[in-house]
Amino acid sequence: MSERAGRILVVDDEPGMREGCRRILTSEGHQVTAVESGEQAVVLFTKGAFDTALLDLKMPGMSGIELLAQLREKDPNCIYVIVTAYATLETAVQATRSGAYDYVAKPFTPEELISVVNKALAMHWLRMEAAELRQAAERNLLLVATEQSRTRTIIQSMADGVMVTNREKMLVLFNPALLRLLGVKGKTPELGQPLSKEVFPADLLAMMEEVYAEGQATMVARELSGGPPNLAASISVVRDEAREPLGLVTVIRDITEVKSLQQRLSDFVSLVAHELRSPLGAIAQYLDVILAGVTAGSPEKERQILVRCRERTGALSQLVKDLLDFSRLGHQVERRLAPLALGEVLEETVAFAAQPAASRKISVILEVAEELSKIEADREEMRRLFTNLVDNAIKYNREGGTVRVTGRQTDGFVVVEVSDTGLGIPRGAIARLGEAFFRVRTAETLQIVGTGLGLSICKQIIEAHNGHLEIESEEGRGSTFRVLLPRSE
Amino acid sequence: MGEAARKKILIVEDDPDTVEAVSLVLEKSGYSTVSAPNAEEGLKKVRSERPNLILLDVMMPAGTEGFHFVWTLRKDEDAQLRDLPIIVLTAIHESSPLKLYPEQSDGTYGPYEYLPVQGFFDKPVALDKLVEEVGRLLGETK
Repeated sequence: MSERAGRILVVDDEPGMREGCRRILTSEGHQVTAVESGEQAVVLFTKGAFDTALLDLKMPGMSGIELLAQLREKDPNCIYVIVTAYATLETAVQATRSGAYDYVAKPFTPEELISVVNKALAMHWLRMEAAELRQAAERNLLLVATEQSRTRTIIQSMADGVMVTNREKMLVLFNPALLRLLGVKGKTPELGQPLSKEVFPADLLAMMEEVYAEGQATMVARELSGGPPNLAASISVVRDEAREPLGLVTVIRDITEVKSLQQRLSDFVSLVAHELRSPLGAIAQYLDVILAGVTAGSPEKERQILVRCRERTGALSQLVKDLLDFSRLGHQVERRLAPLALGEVLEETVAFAAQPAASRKISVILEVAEELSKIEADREEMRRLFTNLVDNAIKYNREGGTVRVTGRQTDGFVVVEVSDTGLGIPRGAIARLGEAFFRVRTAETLQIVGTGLGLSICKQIIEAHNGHLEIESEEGRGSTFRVLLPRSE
Repeated sequence: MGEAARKKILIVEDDPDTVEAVSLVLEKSGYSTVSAPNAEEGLKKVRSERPNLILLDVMMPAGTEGFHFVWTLRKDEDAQLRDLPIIVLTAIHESSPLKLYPEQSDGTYGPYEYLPVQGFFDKPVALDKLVEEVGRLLGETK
């Protein structure tokens, strides 16, 4: 038995030959299809249907050579063996010239037939394997080509500037962003040339030289000086498999945003430091007064001072709390949006405000429209928002004044107004309200304890809920803070 | 010491508690005090109250308004006001964006010109030293 079954076509006009071949080859485990003419064979034969075909050379009608040509055209991978009764060198040569792999002479022994067929089959399978390998290689090449073009596209599209220089410090690759960031106009750098001092900032060239010289450094990242502003360069060494340096990849990045963020952070920190320093300084000064014995013998004065100290520490605690809220709101963590009936929140807020309002003889009036639409909101943040606004309306009110809180709705919004009859806000200051630590400073407001963060927290909460804040004010008459929040329906 | 003889000190400072603390100490030492929460009010009070000495906080809201207070006063037509002793209260030695000698573009004073005042005190102020310095500047011996 042969190791692997082959599919074999036998074309012979002699029934005895067909039968003989079938018997011998079937006993070897092969599948045999036998037909009596070239014409039948052509009809039957399709590409890939047979591994080997035994073609009788001399048949009535279509000859073996003629048939061979037609079948080869249909399937060049099938192995063709010519069977001939006149085994001469001439016919053998003619057959192989016509594309037959081998020939076998009649009469043949079963062993001879089996040997020829198995050799042909082995040849066929080898050929098929080679073809498969070739296809796989072609697929790989295609992949590689696609990969290269993809990488090139990515590099060309990057917002960061990229360039590659080789061991000889020649420019090998760069992208359009590099030229844009470095402000290169007209004189495009040439590949295969050293980096021109006219195109590349001296500082960048110096950095690259440093990395070239050290060879060890894998990455240097710092801001460039001398060239266009706000650019940072990262340089990394490219190495081959043996860890030998091949050149440098330099990435240029625009750090305007990063620097502006750093500046804002630093401004904010000095604002916070300033806000902490004033109350701490005042408390320390008061304590010094007591320690120096200035108030000795005047317990009433001493008590006044201690009350003020206590108030100032309270304000410091509030400042810390506000700072934490301010930072939390900035990061939008834990915001739990749910349909919320704002009327309830306003009732709670006004109830909490009753005591501080009463101590200054201020009446707080709440008017909420019936069946106020719900809004999508975080309940805690809404409570914080309206508590801040109502607290302000009480703090900046005159003694015996009024705070009015109203809730109504328009087509798209629920509108809450918090109005007071207090100091009012100077015209120029309205636009700045909501800036962190901005406070209106007048003789009157100096007496009022506040952190300058309350309204900016309110603004953040309103913005986080896609709402809108409007402020109307008249100095000496009072202010109205109007909050518009989108209805959830 | 009779009321007429008490020397008057103007405190220009925006923090009411700091004003109160410094006032208590100065009053205990026999001075009378008046105060103003900003430079503008301060300049008005200089004219209406005619103090003998000024304590000036330079860290007021408008940033450098304390400096402008000094330069405005030093150019006043009234020689008596022009020469008033000024002690600057400041936390400027701590990190602060303020420059001690701010540049002035309108030419009223030159860049880095020395601030013409009689003394500087860091806040919180060492009260005994302040009283001593005030006494010295007012020509009193204690």
